[in-house]
Amino acid sequence: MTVRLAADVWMRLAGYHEWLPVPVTGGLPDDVQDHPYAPRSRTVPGSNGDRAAEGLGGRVDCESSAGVSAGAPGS
Amino acid sequence: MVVFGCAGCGAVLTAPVAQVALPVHARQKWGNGVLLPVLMEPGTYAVDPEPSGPPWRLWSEVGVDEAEARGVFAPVRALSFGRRAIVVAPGEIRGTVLIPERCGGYCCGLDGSDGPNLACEQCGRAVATRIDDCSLWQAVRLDPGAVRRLPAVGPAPETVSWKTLAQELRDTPPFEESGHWSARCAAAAGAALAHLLAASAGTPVAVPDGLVADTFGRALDALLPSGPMPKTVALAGPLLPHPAPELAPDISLVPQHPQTGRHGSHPAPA
Repeated sequence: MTVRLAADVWMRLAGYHEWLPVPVTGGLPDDVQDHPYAPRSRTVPGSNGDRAAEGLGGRVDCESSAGVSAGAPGS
Repeated sequence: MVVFGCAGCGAVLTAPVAQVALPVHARQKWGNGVLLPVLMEPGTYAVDPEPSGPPWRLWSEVGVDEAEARGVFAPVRALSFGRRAIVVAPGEIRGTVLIPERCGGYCCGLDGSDGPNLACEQCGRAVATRIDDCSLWQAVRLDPGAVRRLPAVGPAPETVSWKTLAQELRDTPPFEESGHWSARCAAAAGAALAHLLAASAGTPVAVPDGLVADTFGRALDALLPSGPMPKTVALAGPLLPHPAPELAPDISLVPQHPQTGRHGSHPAPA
């Protein structure tokens, strides 16, 4: 049985390129989520990415919803 | 190489593009207020194997059985029952104008939630959806029912060899300056993890020490039971030595070629 992995990531795992290993998070024990290199939260619930992908109306303002400034006109 | 044109009037709508596999991060949503890069490489297009855009149906309307038939096994708020779009970079688009009343989104750009928001400049037919809002990979999704392929304008580029690909990918950093994984890399690893879990069928797996264990081991340990006779996982591919038959893993982690979408496995032994 084969499982496909994006070529660039596979090549790093295979030792072709320099790689700083990082655990994959998501519903894992606290010690994993606290890892200094753990990926940051992917999507703020109810954020624009969620709503757009699910075809739902009503926008969420970037700054007020997540405390993150987009730094772009119209935000 | 092909050019896509308007199905209504035949006007040219794209620059010449060659088909590649849809990147694994095409549906990734990342952060909030974060402007993501362009999804597709210049001069390329991909056909999305999954429907996208309206019409949408809520999860409660779809039901578990129909969702599973679509390959969706975890609840989502709504599923698309739209068409399977042709995806290109915004920079490849020619001869279109925005449809002002369909420019939904605009936290930082267009999110495509109102359906096609680009019309053919020549005849006004709605032909595509531009997406460039924050948290979403920037792309234009051509409606396959509104465009057609115009006569080929040249041969498709040759498929890059794995050896050349290894050289080209050497400079693609897997991390951002902050030290976090790049969004693209996180999506790739997440997708592979999901397929590893599916391949395990819920049984214990054993990954080799080293980078594979560092990357997937903790998640697999947390999500799968431990026990005797685990399925073995190992890297396999065209750039690695062919293992002896008795050492062949139960699950091979193989590279997916970004052009063809096909995986690279070991050549058959002579």
